Amino acid sequence: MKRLLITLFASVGLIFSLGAQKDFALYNLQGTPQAVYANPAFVPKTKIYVSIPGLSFTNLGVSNSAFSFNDLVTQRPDDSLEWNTTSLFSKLKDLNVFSLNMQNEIFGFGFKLHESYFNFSMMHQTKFDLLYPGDLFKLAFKGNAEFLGQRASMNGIGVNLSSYMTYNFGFARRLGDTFHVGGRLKIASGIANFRTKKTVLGLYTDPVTYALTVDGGMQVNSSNIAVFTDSTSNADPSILQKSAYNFANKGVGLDLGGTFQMNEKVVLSASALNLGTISWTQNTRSYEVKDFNFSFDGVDLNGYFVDSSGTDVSQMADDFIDTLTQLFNEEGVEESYVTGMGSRFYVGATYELTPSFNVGATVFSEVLNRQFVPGLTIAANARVKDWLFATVNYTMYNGSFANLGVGLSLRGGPIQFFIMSDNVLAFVNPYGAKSAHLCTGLAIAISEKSKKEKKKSKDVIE
Amino acid sequence: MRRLTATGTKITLVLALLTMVACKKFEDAHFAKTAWNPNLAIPIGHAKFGVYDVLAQIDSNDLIIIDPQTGEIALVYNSEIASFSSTSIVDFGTVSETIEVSLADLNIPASGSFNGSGNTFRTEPITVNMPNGVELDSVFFKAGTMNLHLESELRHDLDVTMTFTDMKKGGPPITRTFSKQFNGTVPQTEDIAVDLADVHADFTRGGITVNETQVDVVVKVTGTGEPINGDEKLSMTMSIADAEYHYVKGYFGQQTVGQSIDSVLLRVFQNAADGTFELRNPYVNFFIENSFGFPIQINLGNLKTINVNTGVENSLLNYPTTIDVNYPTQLGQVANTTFQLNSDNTDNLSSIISPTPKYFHYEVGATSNPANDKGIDNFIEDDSRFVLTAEVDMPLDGLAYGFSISDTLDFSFDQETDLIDNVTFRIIVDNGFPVRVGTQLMVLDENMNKLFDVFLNPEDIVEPAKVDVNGKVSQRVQKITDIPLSREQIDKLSKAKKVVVYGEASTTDFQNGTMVKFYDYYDIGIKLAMQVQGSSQF
Repeated sequence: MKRLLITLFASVGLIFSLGAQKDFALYNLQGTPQAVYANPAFVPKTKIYVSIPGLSFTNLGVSNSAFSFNDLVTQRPDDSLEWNTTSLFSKLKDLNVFSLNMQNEIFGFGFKLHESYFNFSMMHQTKFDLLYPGDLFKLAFKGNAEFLGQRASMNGIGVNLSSYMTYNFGFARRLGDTFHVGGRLKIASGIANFRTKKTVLGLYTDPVTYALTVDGGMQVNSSNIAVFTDSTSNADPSILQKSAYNFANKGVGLDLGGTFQMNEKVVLSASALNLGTISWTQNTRSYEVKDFNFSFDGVDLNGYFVDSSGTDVSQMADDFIDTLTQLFNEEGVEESYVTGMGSRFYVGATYELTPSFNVGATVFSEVLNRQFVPGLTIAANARVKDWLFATVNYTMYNGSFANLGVGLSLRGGPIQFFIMSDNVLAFVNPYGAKSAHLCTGLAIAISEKSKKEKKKSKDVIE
Repeated sequence: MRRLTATGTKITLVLALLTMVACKKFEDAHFAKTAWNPNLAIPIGHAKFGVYDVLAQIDSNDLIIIDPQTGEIALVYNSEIASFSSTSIVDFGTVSETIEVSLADLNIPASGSFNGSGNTFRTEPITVNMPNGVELDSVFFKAGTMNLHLESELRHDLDVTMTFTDMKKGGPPITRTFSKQFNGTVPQTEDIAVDLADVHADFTRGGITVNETQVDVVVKVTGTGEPINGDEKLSMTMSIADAEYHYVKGYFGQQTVGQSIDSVLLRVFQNAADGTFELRNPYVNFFIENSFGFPIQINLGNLKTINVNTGVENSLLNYPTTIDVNYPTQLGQVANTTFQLNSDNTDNLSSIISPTPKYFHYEVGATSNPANDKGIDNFIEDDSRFVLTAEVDMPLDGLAYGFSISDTLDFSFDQETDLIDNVTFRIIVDNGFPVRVGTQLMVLDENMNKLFDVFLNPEDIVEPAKVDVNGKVSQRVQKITDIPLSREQIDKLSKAKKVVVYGEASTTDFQNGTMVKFYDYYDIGIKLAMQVQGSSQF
């Protein structure tokens, strides 16, 4: 079991060492066709871009906001491992998130036409967030006696899962000599969603009497989830496939971006991504546990001491279960609901040290659990050859300061291959990383001829 | 600058390549056991006890509110200490009278063949033999039978009429006639039974005597030609059997009508081993319910309290020894008498309660017509009752200390405890009584050997509530007592078969003589909880 846990954790670390999807490296790998996903105003160097289905843009990420494997486990002198709960508890915050993200481009293409760049893509996105409160671990490991006089808060505990397709229509254009603007309209077709809209859950232990008070409330929404969770459901599994294109769960989003050539050396850029919502209406089911407050201060002992009948403990248990059953609306209700696409914002600047080498900084922000989470990336970007781009960046994000990102884009003839990660340290030391990211793909990219190539061709003709 | 940027480019490239390929392989490893010791705080139960739960658990009648305005309460223990019924005073005596009639009374001479007739009329007294000097004036019978018997050796026809002139059933006197036609055999006999139900009988013969009634007898003999020998006998016998009465009037004499030696159990001290209990104003009430229509005097004797544990007896001194009981003067009435022994008419009632006695002992006797005044008309009804109830009243106004009780309880514990490192029980007592309770618990094995004491020293788990100058509780007091059980003690619990509970109580500030009062709204809240430290590895 332990080995399984290790393997699982390591596998997750490696397989999904693939980007908690902040795309810091991608933002800095400007000039590649894929950078347009970070800023729709980024016009690639290539004239035509066509993705290779199944091998094109794949963006994977995993992150755990609270702790890494090394925070959880300590190696002892005899090389055996032990759980390090002290370290674990020091790392846990009130609410922590374990996230898995995946973007997969089904098909895409782009081409330049005069001063404009048109692009289209079909992107499948899957996001999974497990929200777990730190007090939940403390309760489990230390018991409620650690919370005497305090409320052990499990507020926010829940799961968010969202899978949808976006059909993206992008356009970028040069405005004058210094501006590039771009935008992308995203038409979404939701596949499945599970949202923990609200959870309030707390356990208060009276410091004197140890009386327990549980308070809480919960609201969750789901769409097309019964296929996974209810074996008795009549839902047709193929509905998930159809949902990828039938727009039963409609969504509209917008990506906006721009760049500004401030002078010969400095380029400013900014983008706002995923400005939009998806309306979930297909096979929806919403559940609600109304706000409740239940206290237990022990059984009534008067029955034992005074009444010959005594106290019927089993009856008390039945009453308690009945109370909980009444709190929880098992059947749920069918109602549509709206979720966001997960907006992100980038503001960056690059300074060109040489024509083939620049350094830059990017400020990032995203909406996570209804809060803006900032990040800062410092990058060095090199165009080593016409066929080779490279970027190395360092990122501070969400309290994590050990994120070294790397990206490479290689082109051989019309074939372009790229690979990047926002945190390559996760590959070096996967057990010490709290997040990992990998973005890779293979595409057909046909570049415009350089002036040198054009001159060479002309000489041959003459 | 160009060189610098070229170098930077190379470094960037190398770093990118290096980091891409540098991936540490996670070595196979095994986990050591990790301790998991969650500490759980759990409420077990709660209870709230009022004065009735604490002081009158067995019988709520043990507690009464003696002042409805304030709710002041008293412990009350009573016992019916003497009673007697009507039959024990007047049991209808024996009645058997025979009336003989001679031939001379009938003016019939001896003859070889008698064809004439003869008759006679006589009034005869009937005496009732009553015991204990009881003098009957009248009786209203509820049941009974008067048996009349005729026996004659005369060989002639007979007509005998008996009229009980003072015995009437609603109207005329009771009359019965024997009519005998000689059938050739002697003696001639006949019996008549007279139902006495609802018969009123006067036993004064018109106010001239007692215990006597009378019968008029008319005898007529008609000859049948048979001889008259001259020595034939003719007699009438009457007797009364199974007599019960609605009421009896008369004078029932001076007799001891009841005696009793008994005691009142003072339940509050039932389990007390020791202690001092000083009450400001205890008293003993005697309640007498009397429907006997004659004077009765109660004689009190040997009043004392007894502590059967210590053998200590404390006699009550200088108390009134007699109680004159009220009596009804008309049929159907009930007369009640209340008599109280208190600190005003005794010397030491308060102090004999002090050593937590178990019983209040008494000896009583009851005498009818103590003045032997025959001028007082006595009566008894069939449902007349005399009930003497003694009630020891202890208004809870005083102080107590050293009031100790102990009990041995069966105990068994067969739960799995391997995953428990230690347990700490918590008792939270929110006390509204002006009483402190110290406790010790001793855990014993099946051979009554001590396994361990729960407390290192007896622990005050109940702190007394504070009182004002009137002895009334002015502030509740909460006491939290933690009882830690070590792993070793938990292991011993599996061998435990008995738990000895020892408690010692005292009232608030008794050392300074503070007297406290108890009211009906006092209560005590108890909450039980525990912390369990788990012991596990994963």
